[in-house]
Amino acid sequence: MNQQLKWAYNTFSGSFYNTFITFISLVIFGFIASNLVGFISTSEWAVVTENKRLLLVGRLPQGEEWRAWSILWISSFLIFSSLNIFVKPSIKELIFISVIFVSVCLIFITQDALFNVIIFTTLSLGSYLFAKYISQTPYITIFRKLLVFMWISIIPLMFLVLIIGDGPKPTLWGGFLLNIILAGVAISIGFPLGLLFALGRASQLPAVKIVCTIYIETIRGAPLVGWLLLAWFVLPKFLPEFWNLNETSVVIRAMIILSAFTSAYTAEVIRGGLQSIPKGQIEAADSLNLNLYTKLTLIILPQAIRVVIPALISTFIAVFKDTSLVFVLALTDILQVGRIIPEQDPQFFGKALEALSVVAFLFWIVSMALSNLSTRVERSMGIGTR
Amino acid sequence: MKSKLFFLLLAVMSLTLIIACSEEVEEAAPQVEVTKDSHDDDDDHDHDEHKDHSTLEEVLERGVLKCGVNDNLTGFGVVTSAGTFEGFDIDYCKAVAAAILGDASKVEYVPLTASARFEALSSEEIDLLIRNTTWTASRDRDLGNDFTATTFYDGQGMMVYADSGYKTIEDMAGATICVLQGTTTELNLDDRFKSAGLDYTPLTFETNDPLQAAFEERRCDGWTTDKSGLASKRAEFPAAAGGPEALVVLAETLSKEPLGPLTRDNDSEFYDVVQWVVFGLIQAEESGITSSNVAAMAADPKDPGMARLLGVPYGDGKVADFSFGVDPTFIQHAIKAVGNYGEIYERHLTPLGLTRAGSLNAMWTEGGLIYAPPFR
Repeated sequence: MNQQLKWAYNTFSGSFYNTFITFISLVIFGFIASNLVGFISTSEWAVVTENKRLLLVGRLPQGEEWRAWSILWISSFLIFSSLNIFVKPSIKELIFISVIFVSVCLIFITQDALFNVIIFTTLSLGSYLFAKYISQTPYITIFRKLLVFMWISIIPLMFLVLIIGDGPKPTLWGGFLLNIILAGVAISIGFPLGLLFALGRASQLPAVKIVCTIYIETIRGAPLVGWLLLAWFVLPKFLPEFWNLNETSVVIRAMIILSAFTSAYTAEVIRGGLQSIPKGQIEAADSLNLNLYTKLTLIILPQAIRVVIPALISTFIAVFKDTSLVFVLALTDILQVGRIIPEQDPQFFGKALEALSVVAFLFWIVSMALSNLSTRVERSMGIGTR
Repeated sequence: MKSKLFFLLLAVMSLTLIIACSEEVEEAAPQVEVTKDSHDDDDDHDHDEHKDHSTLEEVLERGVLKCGVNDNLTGFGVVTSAGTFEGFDIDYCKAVAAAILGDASKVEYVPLTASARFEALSSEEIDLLIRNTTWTASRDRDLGNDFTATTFYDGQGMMVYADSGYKTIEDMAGATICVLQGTTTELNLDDRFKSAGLDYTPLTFETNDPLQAAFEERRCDGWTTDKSGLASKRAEFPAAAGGPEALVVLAETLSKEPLGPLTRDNDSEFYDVVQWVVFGLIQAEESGITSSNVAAMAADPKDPGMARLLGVPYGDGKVADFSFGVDPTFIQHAIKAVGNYGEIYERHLTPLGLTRAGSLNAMWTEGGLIYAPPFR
């Protein structure tokens, strides 16, 4: 205890400069905190509380909410059991996660959704404890495999839940749900594709190399909004089979573009990793007479990907935030919802800050979770320590 | 370590496979449907006067009207908290859908940005554009659109603080004006001040919200945008900043902004239907037909004109069919769905403080410009 006090004294007021910096920081922190508390307590949040549904699922028709809820339940099981099995958070982190969880629930809870939120909370807590229990039994290996399999199939599963039994048109998907789906698809298609393009660009076959280079540089050479508008207005003219495609088209076109975009950026990131591998490694693999496939999967990729995980995750975070650009395709993602609800009714005029801060909060949670994940993967792989 | 990574890789590869498969299914399914659809159409319908692109036929075949709208303008087009569209322009989408398809709910709303709207219309992503679009020569001619009729006469205005003493634009020499960036509003403002030989400082904003904040802080002396917008912003001006009484909208109108629905060029069948739905709703108000009494009026029309409008026989006479390509009772369906012009106005614009009496949007019989050609 004495030691800690001594440490605190030395750190915060050991010298004149330390005292000065502590004082300044406290003033700034106090100023920000009081403003924040003032903003939260004095603002009228009706613009958000009346539009919870719009923010989360957009224009999903009434009576179709069960689709969104089922997705939420499946992912809550997945997230919270993985949290215990793979992440193993400390007490501090658990408290932090709970605070976030509770604040999200508090922001978005409504009378109608009370029952569903209770199920959601129970399921989250239950799966966390269940995972804790099962990790002490021999079934843990099977459970791990099940979780990995579920993570792989979560995106197709989400589609299935949204489409099954005459589901609503994809153009009616909206809100945060749309951002999650688009980002999920873009990352899970873009990453494997990007891997292929990176290998192609590093290939010694000129034809493959040229094709991959042209692809990557073309996609990276224009802004995403440009590609999205191209997909909306120009793509149908080039591809007659897209003409008169039913309402699925715009969302699917957005997915294609976002995946292509992600793949080009991931490819360059991975290529950076490929170049970091010492030549000796490849020569050693050759001298062991490994074939191309084994050489790639056992020697090159494990080392290359390990190096680029931070860059890879930041690309994914960027893609997740880029999904809000789909508003140019007349899709109502959460950012667009935040922009349109202050105009919904004269009583909401001038309340854009309230709406957009809730949107920012949701974006922050996902981005933070992703970057936290990246730090953990780095640590578990020993990046920076060896 | 190695085996773990190998497993990861395997996972990634199987993921690719799954995604690839699911994507194939996604894309393949609609294609099949499309070919089936067009096949059916050839069999089922016998188009004598089949043109390459008749939007009217497309809408009838599809059973849904794709309407390009605004989701971001109070009173004209907004998304409600339940996720549905609502507003003055939205009601015209409903009216056209009711007229053509007999069901006002058969509309697919496509919320468009100001910059993408004309492109969306010409690339046939939508059938009809009703997005508070000003009728101008270049938009009518260069952009390949046809404006059907004006549903709302707007005009750019100037709002100032009552205590500033400004009575006309001429008083505002040297003033700072808040205006939205990249709009025709900005250009009109410049025209007006230049032609009057007055100095001014424009303060431009991307969106309305920061503009309003700046105006409340009195960082600008005037706020210029369409008068409909000014009226609603004034009506809801926060009491902390003085409330509506603190503000005055100057009488002068800086520009003409007639708003109305647009169709593609050379699409006269569809154009005519949309145009006459607009006229029909105006005529309905003139004849005193409302959404609540339309059924009674159709059962017993008061005069031959009303019978022609509603598509019903008068006395022993025949039904007047003007060969619009839709049911002769199409105006009747439209009135049932959204009411006459006055009802639409009352529902969406009166609550915003946009007084109709004495404005350009009053009936022609009351000195306004709302006028419909005869239904004969």
